[in-house]
Amino acid sequence: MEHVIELQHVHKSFGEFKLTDVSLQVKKGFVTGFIGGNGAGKSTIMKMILNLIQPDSGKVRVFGLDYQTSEKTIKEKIGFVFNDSPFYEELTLQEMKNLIAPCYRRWNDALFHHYCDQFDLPLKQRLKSFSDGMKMKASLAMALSHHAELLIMDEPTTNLDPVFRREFVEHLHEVMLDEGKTIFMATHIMSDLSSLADYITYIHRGEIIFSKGAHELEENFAIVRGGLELLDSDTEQYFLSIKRSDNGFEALTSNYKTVASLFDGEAIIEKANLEEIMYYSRGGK
Amino acid sequence: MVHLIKKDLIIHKFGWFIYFAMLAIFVFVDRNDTEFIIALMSAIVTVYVFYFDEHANGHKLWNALPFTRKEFVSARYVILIINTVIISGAFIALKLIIQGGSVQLTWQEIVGGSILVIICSAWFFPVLYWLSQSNRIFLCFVFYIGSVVIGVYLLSDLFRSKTGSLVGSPIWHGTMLLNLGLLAICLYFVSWIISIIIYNKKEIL
Amino acid sequence: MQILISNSSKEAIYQQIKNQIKEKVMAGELQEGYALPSMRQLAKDLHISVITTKRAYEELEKEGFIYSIMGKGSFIAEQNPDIIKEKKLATIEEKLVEVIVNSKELGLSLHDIKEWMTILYEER
Repeated sequence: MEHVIELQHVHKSFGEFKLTDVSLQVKKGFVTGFIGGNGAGKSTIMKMILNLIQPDSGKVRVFGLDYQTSEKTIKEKIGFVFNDSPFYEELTLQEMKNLIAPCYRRWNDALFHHYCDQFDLPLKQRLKSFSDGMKMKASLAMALSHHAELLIMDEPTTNLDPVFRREFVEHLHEVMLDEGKTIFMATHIMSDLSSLADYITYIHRGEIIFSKGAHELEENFAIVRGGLELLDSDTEQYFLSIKRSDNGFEALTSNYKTVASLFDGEAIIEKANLEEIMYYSRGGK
Repeated sequence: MVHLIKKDLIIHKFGWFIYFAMLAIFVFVDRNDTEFIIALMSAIVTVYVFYFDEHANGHKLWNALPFTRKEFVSARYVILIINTVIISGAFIALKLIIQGGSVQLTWQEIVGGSILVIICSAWFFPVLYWLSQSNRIFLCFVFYIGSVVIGVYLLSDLFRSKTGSLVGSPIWHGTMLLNLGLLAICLYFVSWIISIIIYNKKEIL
Repeated sequence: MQILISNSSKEAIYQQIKNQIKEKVMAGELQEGYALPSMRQLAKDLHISVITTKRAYEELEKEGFIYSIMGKGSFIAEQNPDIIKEKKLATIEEKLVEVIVNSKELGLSLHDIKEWMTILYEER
């Protein structure tokens, strides 16, 4: 099984919101970053992967299994981290752990205490008194303590300050030392992904715009800036989107090499970062 | 699923002492409507479990853990019965302790109270699942408890009109208890199935 | 083994890793049989994605600098001295061409370059 998560032609609509023909795959042993703006459909898809929401049509398979027949087997092997802490605030971390631990057949208490030590989490304190960063770490500790093979994370770092965020990403790097682990992480904070993600899937208004290897994006996508005289129907075909102004144009290409030889010396060509790719991918010509 | 039931008992923590204290007060003031006390207290203990998961969005947590929705719903239907048994047991024990040997315990009254809370729950549980994760559910909690209170008076009215007795509290007689009991069990099972269907279709926010 | 990467370099990160390991092999700093850190360990240490180190190792393997054993890791491969010499000569040639191109831009003649080269050579 190469793909841990597989969505095939998934459709879903509720109210104004619509997911249209979403197909995506998450490769085993790697980190896949799931990017897109607010309301693009990231959370809905994350919830579908956990069977909290069911698609109108299409297939969702996790570990090659179906939720209709193997719900418990699938969930045994998933660790989840949400952007809002799902725990009972009135309980202490220890009490919450005592509620969660028996749910998993492969819960490892020693491992949980190891993570609590590492993350500096007080077991005897009420979750209510935890900071956002601590709550997130508590979620991560729970998610990592039952030998989950797949970590599903929905905007885990949104409420964290930059230092905490780095630390969090550092822990994820550590998780990935084990080649049996897979991470699927939705975020709109690009800096988290630049060092971590092996694959990037971009969703916009309920449609998948692209799903590519991070190195592919780095090598092929570029921002081109030049004078308007360079644009004609011939050259425009190499651009995914173009912004024109009195000072010239700014455009995104997914064809770095061709464009570089085409405009050799006449335009400024720079590697595009994730944010730029996202920003320009939405716009037309 | 056993764990889901256990969890619904554990989350009360010290709440159980409060429930027992309330029962003790009821016994102490020597109110004579046993069925009212049993039904009301069982409903309160159960509604708190619903409230707890609604308040902390436990739906998201427990459905992301390795359970099916069927188990999640079924655990609640089992827990009501367990709560009723615990409350009845505690009530009998407290009555024996506080009032000593002079107690006249009528088992019919205890069974009557249990039947009452089961009938009310059969109506309200599907609605609670239907309205879960919306603010309207909190109003529904009030109606649920209210229905138990009103139910007691309806039952005694029903009893009075049938027997012509002028006593406030219904003295249960065999056939009526049996009929009501069967009705309660049927309603409860139908309600159980409806709740599972409703909750299976629910979109967890 | 130390590898330093730059995020602002034009060179892709996998390329930087590849080149640095190659240089160390050619300089004799890394000997045959030396166990390289695992792809995942290196990715963690350098704060980069696993797929980047994977790509660097795959290319190094293709070019014969390293070999991998399933479950054991990657090791520096035996280097043929002739090939190393050839590779070094190729690097020298590349740098000489660069010198010539730059010199021509400034209008230096072949004679000027040779003279300069002689002085520098004798100084070392």
